[in-house]
Amino acid sequence: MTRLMRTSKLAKRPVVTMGGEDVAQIKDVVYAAGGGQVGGFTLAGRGLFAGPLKKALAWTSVASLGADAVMIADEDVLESTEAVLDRSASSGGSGGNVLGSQVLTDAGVDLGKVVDVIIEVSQGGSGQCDVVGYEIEASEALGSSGTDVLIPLPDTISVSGEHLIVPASAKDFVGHDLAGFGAAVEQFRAQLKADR
Amino acid sequence: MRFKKATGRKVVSLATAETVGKVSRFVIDVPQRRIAALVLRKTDKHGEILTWSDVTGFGDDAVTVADVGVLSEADGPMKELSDKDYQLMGKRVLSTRGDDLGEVKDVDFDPSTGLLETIHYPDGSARGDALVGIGTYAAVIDVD
Repeated sequence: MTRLMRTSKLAKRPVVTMGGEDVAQIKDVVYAAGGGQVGGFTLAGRGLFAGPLKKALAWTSVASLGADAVMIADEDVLESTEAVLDRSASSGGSGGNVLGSQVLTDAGVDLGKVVDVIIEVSQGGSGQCDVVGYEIEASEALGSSGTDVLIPLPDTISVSGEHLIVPASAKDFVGHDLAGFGAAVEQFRAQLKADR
Repeated sequence: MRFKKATGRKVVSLATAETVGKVSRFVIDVPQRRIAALVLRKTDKHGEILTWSDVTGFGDDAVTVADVGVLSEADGPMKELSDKDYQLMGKRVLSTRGDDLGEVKDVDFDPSTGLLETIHYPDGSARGDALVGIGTYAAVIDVD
């Protein structure tokens, strides 16, 4: 079983050990593999006046990412923030900062601006945490200008700080809420594979 | 027997037939999934910790102990475990998946062994042996 989440909702989610202690909370998502995967999270301390922590959480150390908490075995799985960032960058990271980027189809049509990143989390936390879609503020090309819609992403994407290129067929799989969007992503990816 | 009903129950010394305190909280031994001790109130300067092995009988009307001398002050690891912060009743329940299941409403336990049987939360319950941890933030339960 998998579930989809908006990454904007992850900030401040507590990081809790299996022993029931909240040792940190999510500050930011660290992307890996050119922005196609979640590599981990930078962390902040818990409590009103706690600032950023020097420790970070690699995705491989996450036991489960749930609706209300990120579960980890114990505090020892936290690593230095540098280690997590370096590893993600060496896998082709830095593609994470896509908020505000313009989404262009390979046919050169502007679909809109990225306002949120949708990830797919497999139950139990093992395996990858894939970036499967973006929530975009739709342009006129989508016929629903100004509203926020979800577009699925192929397995591999091309991102710069400025643009994000998706296959033109992505716009046929636009969704309006997370329910059912998982199926749209699968259909879209299946079709891309069939096209190859 | 249930935590909620057992809370406030008087503790009686068999040696003197006097009430030596009342049950206030339960201290849980998480790895063993059983009650490690009771925290008492109104103990009149005796210690507030009653270790489970010193309980002679856990009945519907009273908890009996041999003598008031079995009560002790919390020290060592018991000091932290018996703190209010680690109390299971009312604690937020997180599944090992990371979902909030509400707060612990009540706990069934076996009065003869102290073993936890069922943990009740708003939308369901879990077996006592599904308890993974109790921390200051939450009680973690494996619901799979």
